[in-house]
Amino acid sequence: MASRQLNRRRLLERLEAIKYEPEERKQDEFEQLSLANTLLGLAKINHEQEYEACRGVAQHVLGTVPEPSDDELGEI
Amino acid sequence: MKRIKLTNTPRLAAMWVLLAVALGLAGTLQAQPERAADDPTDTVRLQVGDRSWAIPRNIWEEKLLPVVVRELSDNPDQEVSVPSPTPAEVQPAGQPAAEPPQTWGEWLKAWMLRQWQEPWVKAVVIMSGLMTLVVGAVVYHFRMRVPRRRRKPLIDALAIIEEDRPDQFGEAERLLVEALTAGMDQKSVADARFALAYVRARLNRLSEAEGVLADLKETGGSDESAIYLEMWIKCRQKDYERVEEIYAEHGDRLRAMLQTNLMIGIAWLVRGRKHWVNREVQGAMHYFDNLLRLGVLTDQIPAQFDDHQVVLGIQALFQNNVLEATQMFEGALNSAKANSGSTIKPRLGLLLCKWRQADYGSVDKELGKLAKEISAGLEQQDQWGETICTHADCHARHRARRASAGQQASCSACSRSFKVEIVAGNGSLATVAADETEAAATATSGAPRANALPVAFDETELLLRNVLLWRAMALLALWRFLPEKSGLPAGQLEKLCERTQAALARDARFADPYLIEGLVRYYFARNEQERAAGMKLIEESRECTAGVSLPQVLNLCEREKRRIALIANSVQHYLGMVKQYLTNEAVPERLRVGLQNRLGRFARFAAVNELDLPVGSVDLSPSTDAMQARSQVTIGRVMALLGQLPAQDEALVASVDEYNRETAALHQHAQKFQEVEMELLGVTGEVLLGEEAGVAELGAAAAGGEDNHPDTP
Repeated sequence: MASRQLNRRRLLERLEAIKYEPEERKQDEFEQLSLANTLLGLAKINHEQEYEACRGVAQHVLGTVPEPSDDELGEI
Repeated sequence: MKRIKLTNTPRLAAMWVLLAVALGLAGTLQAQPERAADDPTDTVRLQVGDRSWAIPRNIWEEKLLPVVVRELSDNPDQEVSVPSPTPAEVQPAGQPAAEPPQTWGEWLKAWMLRQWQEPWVKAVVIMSGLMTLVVGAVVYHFRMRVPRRRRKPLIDALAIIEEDRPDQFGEAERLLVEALTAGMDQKSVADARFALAYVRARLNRLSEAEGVLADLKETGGSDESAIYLEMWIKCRQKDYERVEEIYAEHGDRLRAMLQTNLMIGIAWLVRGRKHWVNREVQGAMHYFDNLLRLGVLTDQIPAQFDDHQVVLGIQALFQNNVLEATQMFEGALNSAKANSGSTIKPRLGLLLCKWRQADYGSVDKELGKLAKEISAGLEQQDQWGETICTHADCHARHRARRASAGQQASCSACSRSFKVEIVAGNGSLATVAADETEAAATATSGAPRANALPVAFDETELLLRNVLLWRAMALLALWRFLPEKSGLPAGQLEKLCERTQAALARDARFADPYLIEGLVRYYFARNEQERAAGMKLIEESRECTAGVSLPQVLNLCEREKRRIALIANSVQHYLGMVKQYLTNEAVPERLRVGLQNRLGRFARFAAVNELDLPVGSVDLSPSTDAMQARSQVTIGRVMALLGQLPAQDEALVASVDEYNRETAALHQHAQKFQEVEMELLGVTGEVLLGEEAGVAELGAAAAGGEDNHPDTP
């Protein structure tokens, strides 16, 4: 026979257990401030910077950037 | 008809009882004057001969004394014969007379016995009893039967809830709603509201449950359980700010309850992480410190939190505050030294600050040392196992150091981070299991080919890879300090390639080293083969994970393809170029005819040779600008057609040299012409305008004439 008194604590024990579920995308963001992840960004090393650095070195050391010019590739 | 409220029945009953007591007291007071005669302690002692009795006064007066008086009055000389008192009336001989009541209980008993003798007392008592029965019946009705009838839906609902039958929770909800309108007492209403909130929470109707709890709180029926339930609902709704507020307000009462610590732990972790990803390190530290004190979810705190000074330095660098970053990294370095910890990260941070300040020389030197230190540390952890990316849509297999278990690593397939869990394997990098294809190949060939599985990049592995790439960029930065147009010193290209290859040895799918080496090889190529090798590496960089998609690089690749195609079809392009030349009226006719005659002996020139030249037309004199432009186009196209100039063809070399000389001379002549032109105009002006007096005289003479028309001499 059911109790006529409400045992609130006992009901709470039957609630679905709370579990911690890390969100995947946030997890990625979570690592943003690790030195390994940020090192190249902080040194401003990226594809564009690498391209400009190589081009700048060629310009400085060779006096010209030996890339195919429009004249070379123009319609003949 | 006015309804009697249930809550008034106790008052009604009390009133009846008080009335009964009052009546009893009134009767008692009324009987008080006669009480002395009935007092059993009031006795007379009767002695006849040697016998004596203690006789209650009332018995003596009512029964015995009349006999004595009658006998004495009838026969005064006769001896009075007194009837022996009954045992109940007489104190036994030789025994002391009845003692007066010693206690309140005895007195009360005696008093009640005496009172009971009174008829009106009996009437009052009977009336009081009847009234009590009536009152009891009323109380029972209103206190027991009515509430029970009103509570029935609640009781039925509680029965369902008690038996924990979720499939019946809908019915329980209906009963509870009914109960709430049945007019139950306050406590039952509070219970019904709690139960309703609970049922709706179990049915995952969290907002409705929350509303019921708000009603419960408003009516004062909330307790720890209700607060806990609200916290649970808010946690399920991921409203962690409210979870935190509830805990701040009621933490003392909730702390020991069920999952309170986990719920507030999740709230703190989520809020800390939010600050963390927003790079609000101070805010994140507040929450992570709370978690550490609470002792839950501490494994979810980012590993970088231990190096929070490094993190603060990183944050300062993101804000371009190099001075503050330097202070943070120096603080981290001092702490690491004091605690005998690793100094690698603080030192790298300080190098980043120097790099930002363009101190490339010291960065290059120090980076080499750091790369060696990191590499040496990794070599000490040469136990490898197999791990699997935890992302449901990936599950790529990797090799990972066993020491990196539990750390975050980067997946080579999906580029997302995942927690390393070693699932199999134990050995060196070369012996950890390959995939099935590789295993089959190994079985067939007998040769170990265990390098098939990619390496999962944990923090240290990733750090080393990036440091090695940084070294390559540091060398490039130093090249900017070479003398201008001096060419690349011997050994420098090999040095750069050594550094890019070191980075590729850590990560074969790393696009950046391919791009750097490819571009440098391409720009500094000494022949077509070296140029092609450079372009191949650039193309490789586009195929890597996170491959290069920079528009400038894509454009370079496209143009190089076109250049290669141009070379492959050089004869056709050359003939087209000659055709354009021969039909260009800006070129003197004798020159065009001369070229036509010169090339006429070649069979492949036949198609062009059939052209009808615009003979007889007047030669147009090209402008200097047109000549300059044409010279640049011609040499550019010739060089493109021939690729790199064959050094063995002396005539061609001589022709190109001469063309370049003449082009330069043309350029110089054009410049000289412009200077001479300017000089001529200047001298003319000086002659015309230089002598003020002469000019004034000329003006006066012109003004003094009769006809001052400008054309008049």
